[in-house]
Amino acid sequence: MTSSRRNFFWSSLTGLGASVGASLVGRAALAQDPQPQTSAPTQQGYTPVRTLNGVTLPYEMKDGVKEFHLTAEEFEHEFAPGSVAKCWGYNGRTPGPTIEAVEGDRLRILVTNNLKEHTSIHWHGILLPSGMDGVGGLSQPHIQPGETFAYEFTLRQHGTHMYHPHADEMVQMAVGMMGMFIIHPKNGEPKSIDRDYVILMHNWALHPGTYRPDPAVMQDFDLWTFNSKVFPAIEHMVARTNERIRIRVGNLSMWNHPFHLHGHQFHVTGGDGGRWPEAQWRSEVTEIIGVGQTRDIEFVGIPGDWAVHCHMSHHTMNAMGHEIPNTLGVNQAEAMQKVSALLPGYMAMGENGMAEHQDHSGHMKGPKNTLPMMMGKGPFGNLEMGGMFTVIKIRDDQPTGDYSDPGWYKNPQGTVAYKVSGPKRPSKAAPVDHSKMDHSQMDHSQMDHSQH
Amino acid sequence: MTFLYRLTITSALALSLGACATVDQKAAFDGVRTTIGARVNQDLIWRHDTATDAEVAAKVDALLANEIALESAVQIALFNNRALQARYAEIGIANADLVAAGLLSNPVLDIMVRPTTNPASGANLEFGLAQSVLDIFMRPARKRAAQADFDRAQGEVASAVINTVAEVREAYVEALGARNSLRVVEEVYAAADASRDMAAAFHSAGNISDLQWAEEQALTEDTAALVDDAKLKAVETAEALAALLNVDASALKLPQQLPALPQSDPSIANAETTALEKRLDVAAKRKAVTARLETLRLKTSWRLWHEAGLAVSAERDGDKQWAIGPTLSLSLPIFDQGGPEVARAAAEVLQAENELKNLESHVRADVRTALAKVETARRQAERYNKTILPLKQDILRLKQERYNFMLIGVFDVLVAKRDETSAYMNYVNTVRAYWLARAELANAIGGAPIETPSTANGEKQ
Repeated sequence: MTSSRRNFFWSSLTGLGASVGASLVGRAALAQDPQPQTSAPTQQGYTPVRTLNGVTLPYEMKDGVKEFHLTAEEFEHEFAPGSVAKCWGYNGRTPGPTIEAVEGDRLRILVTNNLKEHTSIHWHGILLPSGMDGVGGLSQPHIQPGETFAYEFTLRQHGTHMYHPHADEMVQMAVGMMGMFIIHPKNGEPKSIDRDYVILMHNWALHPGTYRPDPAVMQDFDLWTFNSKVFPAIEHMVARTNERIRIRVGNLSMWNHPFHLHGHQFHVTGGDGGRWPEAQWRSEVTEIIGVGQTRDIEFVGIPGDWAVHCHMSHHTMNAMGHEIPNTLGVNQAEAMQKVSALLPGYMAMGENGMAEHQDHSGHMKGPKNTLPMMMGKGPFGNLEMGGMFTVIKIRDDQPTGDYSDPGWYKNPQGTVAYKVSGPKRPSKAAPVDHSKMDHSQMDHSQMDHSQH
Repeated sequence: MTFLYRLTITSALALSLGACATVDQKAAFDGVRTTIGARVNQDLIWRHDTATDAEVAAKVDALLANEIALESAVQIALFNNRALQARYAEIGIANADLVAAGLLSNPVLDIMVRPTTNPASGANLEFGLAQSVLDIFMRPARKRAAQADFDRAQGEVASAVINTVAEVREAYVEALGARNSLRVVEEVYAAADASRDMAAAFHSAGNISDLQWAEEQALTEDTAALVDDAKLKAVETAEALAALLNVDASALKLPQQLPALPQSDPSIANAETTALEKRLDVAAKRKAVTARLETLRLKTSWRLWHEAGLAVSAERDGDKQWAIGPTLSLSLPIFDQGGPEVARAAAEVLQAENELKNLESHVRADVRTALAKVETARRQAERYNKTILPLKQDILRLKQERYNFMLIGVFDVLVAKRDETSAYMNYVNTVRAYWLARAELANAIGGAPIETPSTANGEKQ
């Protein structure tokens, strides 16, 4: 108990924690069920999935039926420290808890609607009776506010699937209602999986300075998320060298995302349509996850710190203006004389590129509730990333089943890119006095993801 | 001889009545001076001789040595405005008329010499001394009418002074408003100018098109044209004020900004009644009514008697005997019994009375309008000062925050700066409207002095 209270405390402090857990009583409960730091195969023989920054939905066995309970509701969600919003989701979180079951299981999923409008849940990609498909008005009556509906069906497949509302879908998805639905094969994996990660991609029109996602936006989104978090608040993945790692990626955003893994060639081994026969596996380093699709990628871990991200470069940025004048190569020095007199505190930026922005955003105030465009620090400096970016840390000595943070990779001697020539770097002097900056919020290295 | 004796008495009486023939212009002017002093709380001096002229010139120079506040501009005008000095002379004219009205018409001496053919008898001589009797009896009434005329003249001059006071106040507010606006327009231009410099940097880096660059330059030049307009307006209004003060515009030390709004507006109890009591045009119109009533009374009492003469005549005929005897000449009211004259006087009374009522109605409307203008201008000025300007400053700050996070560009921030300054321009206009309304109100209630706070409106809250 002491330990879990401590975990909660940590989670709240870092703001990155699984601060809200699954609730069987149908309301957002505070601080329970942060993901354990270690895991082992279950009684049914599968390696439980690990939803980055998320949780797996607990169930109760009732007369041989696995009974789950999802409550649709509004709550405050944090995308990263410094940016929160009123979102909708399940059991106090977005994405909702991952439903995890085994082919052949009979499930009863209770859905309570605590929203102020009706809803429904569609079990995306799952084979089930038409009346359980969750399309409001087509498959079933809508679930009105205050009502609880039961969905009950037997799993006849395995694979990576999703769930989301099919009632006022545009709005309800835009504000965060979605989740992953993982079905393990009943006869076990042909190649056993050591680490099984779950990522659900989404986009958000959380306009700078606002506190509620705007459902009307179709293309010009502000935040691009893995499991409703942006870098550097996205938990990193961890594995031991030579472990077989699977990342299951779903996409309920409005864009296709080229999901890219550094340092490995992976196999695409399945999708919403189930696991592919090994002959169909493709070797890739980037796999486009289309809107409404899921893909499983599998690979054997190679030691190092490897970036994992969407390859749309704007999707690894946080909110920025897309109609700003292009400052590249613009020497503002002369104009500054007049501008400074009018706008005290104005700083000319962007002449030589935008990288300086990460440092400036530490001491130059931005709009409320708005994350700097680029963030994150690594062992060698600023990462200048945001949005759909995280790191997988693979170590020779990471204990099996241990998900705790091993720290930055210690590169073997002679295996880091090195400077050959160029002017001597000033010892500590930087072009701008950054001494007063508070980078702690953005320092990825100081974020403790081990508590999730 | 008894008659001669009586004639002597009559003549002496007439002379004594007419003896006060000196004209005291200073006393006549003091009336206006007191009237104005009680309303405007400023001194009035008629520069009627070189000594006074020099004394007043020194006072004007002393006032010009300092920065000119609203009421000191008024004082300078009262001392120095030559149109006013010209009007002061009208009082002298009316005063002379008044004195003249107090005098009897002079007696008329007739001398007739008729030489005869008879040398023994000598010339036939005839002397006559005639005095209009009616003149004597009508004198008090005539003097009352002349007094009313004098009062009216005095009132009209005082009224002209009050009007000049109002013009000076308006010109002062306009001049300061224009100076104030010029400063703000120059700030607006500074924002546009900075934006152009910035655009030049973007253009020479190849990052904005010729089109955008041309647009940016055109905008800046448009703003420069506004600065020219504002400069001219500042010159025009300063010259207009200087002209009213009859000084050189270069001699005027004007503040850069309009005075701030006072904490509260003056509370004027029964403003409409006050106006009717204090307004000099109303007083003048009332006196016109009185004067016409007097004329009517006079015409009515003496309607039958247009002329009445009393005379004494002495005659020496051929027998060289003097014959002396009184003569009475009287116009007989047979054809003209004075009816038309009375009717005319009565119509003139009606005319004056209706003009008075009409004026009173306008005065009330003026007062109510001026009060509404003061109230509205205050509300608007306070809205700008306490709400709109802080909001514009917030907007600018928030835009800068957006710039910091690369959500918008520098040009958008400069536009926000320009907007903030433009809002300040609107605020200056409301302050100007407020002081104009205060001047209008002061004038509407008879010229009351206006107290201006020593702080300028630029001290943002």
